[in-house]
Amino acid sequence: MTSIAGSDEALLADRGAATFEEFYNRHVENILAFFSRRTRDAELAADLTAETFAAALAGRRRYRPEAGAAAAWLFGIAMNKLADAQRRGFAERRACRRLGMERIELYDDDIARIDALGDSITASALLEALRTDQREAVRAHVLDERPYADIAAQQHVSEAVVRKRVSRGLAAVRQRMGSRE
Amino acid sequence: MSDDFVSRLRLELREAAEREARRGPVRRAARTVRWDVASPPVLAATALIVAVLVAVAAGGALRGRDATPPVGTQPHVVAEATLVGTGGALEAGFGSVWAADNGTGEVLRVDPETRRVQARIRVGGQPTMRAAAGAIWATAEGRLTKIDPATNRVAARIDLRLTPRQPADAVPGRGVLWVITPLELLAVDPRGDEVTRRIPIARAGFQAASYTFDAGAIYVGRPDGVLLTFDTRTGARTSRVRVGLDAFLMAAADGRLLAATANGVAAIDPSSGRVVWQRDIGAQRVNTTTITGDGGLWVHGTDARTGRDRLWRMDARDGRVTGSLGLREFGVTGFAAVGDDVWTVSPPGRLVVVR
Repeated sequence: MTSIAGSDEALLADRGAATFEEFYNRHVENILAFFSRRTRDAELAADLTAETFAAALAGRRRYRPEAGAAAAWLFGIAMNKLADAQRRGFAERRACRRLGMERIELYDDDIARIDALGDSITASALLEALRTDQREAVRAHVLDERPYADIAAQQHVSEAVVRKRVSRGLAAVRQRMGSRE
Repeated sequence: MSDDFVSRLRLELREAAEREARRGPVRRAARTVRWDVASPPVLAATALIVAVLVAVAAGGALRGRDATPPVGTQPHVVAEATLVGTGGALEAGFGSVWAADNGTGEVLRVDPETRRVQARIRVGGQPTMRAAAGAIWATAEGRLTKIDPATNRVAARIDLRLTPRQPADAVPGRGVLWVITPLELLAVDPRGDEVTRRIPIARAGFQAASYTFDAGAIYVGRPDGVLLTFDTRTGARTSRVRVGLDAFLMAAADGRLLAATANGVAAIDPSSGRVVWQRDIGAQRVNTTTITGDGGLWVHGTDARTGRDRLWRMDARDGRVTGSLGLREFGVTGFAAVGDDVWTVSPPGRLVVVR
């Protein structure tokens, strides 16, 4: 597969088929693991993953980098799809249908691999394991790329406190990753 | 790492992206408003609308949909906090707000004024909640848990004989508590704490896709366009009509049903299935709605223009948008009217209170 250099934001802005494929390659396993872990249902996780990327493909022209990192935007779509599926009891296929995408049937091997992916610890799982204040600080600064001062103002704490939370949060993530090696 | 599925999805997306690129901007614009660009009249209408949009834009008058003149005060955030570790359902009742933590399986009783947690009750799973018949009823993993608000303790656990993943939600009735699933309506005796009756609501493979209720009736929408009405006292089906609209039932107010459409909200007359009004609010999707004490209809959805989540405040009588507010958080797990305020909880557990 061709590798295309560039940030996630640049890949979405390019709007070509190949650049979206690169964006997909970067994030598909995290999204699939996220859904697998949250639903504990491989078929539902696969449907939600397809629907999330279809919605991202259809909506990428509406993505604005100033609104946050592309990964956060993608996870936002994923969270909405998950909440919607929990409400309806099934994954909708609106975006897939709109793009004329076929539903992908899973084989036993696929189900086993997706289940395994849900059991593995990913970056987002590590993030979820952090204390709430650290998780929010890391998410705001690292994922959303917001400045310390902005986060401090929103959370009504000093900038030093935010820096400390980010630092300790990242240290905890590193420690947990290290403990798995 | 799940190469087969990942590779096949990659191929589907690549083909979809290439089809999109071939379509060009005009057809993309037509598709986003969900028209079937197949017939000459529709093509002509599309061309006309594109021309009007260009003309308006050239005049410098093209404004966002949320630029609709507001009525009264614009919605604004009055409080933000981390409420739970993982967002879940919200329900107001017995002078408190009840928030589910989908990570721990707990229901938290929260003071609506101070937003302090007053009690934590372990129910398990990812519960939906309803305040009814003198208790908070939490439904999760095929089980109904009755929480006594006087003691903040679990008063009963009722096995609903459902599969653990089957969605279910409690609905208040008159002298009875109902639990609705995509397949059936279950009558629960709120004093005896047992299921007394099961009423099938699915037919020919069409399960219930959405529902809402008021004091007298439970309304069930099916994907075949059928709207069923059940009496909340007896469970008897009182009407069956067809709705000429692909809509997802969300709420009931003043004898009308409010439903999410592809890009907004519609009001439906439940006795005839007739669409009373329909409003495109510029949403890419509508997540949920609630009605506040002052009669305002609040809609949580994703703004098609920005891709961010937004709250719209509407007049339920005619669908007029009276204000809107962009949200920083993505997604919603809990949405409830608490007096004249709206509480919203995102998947990471952040509470935003809007007035």
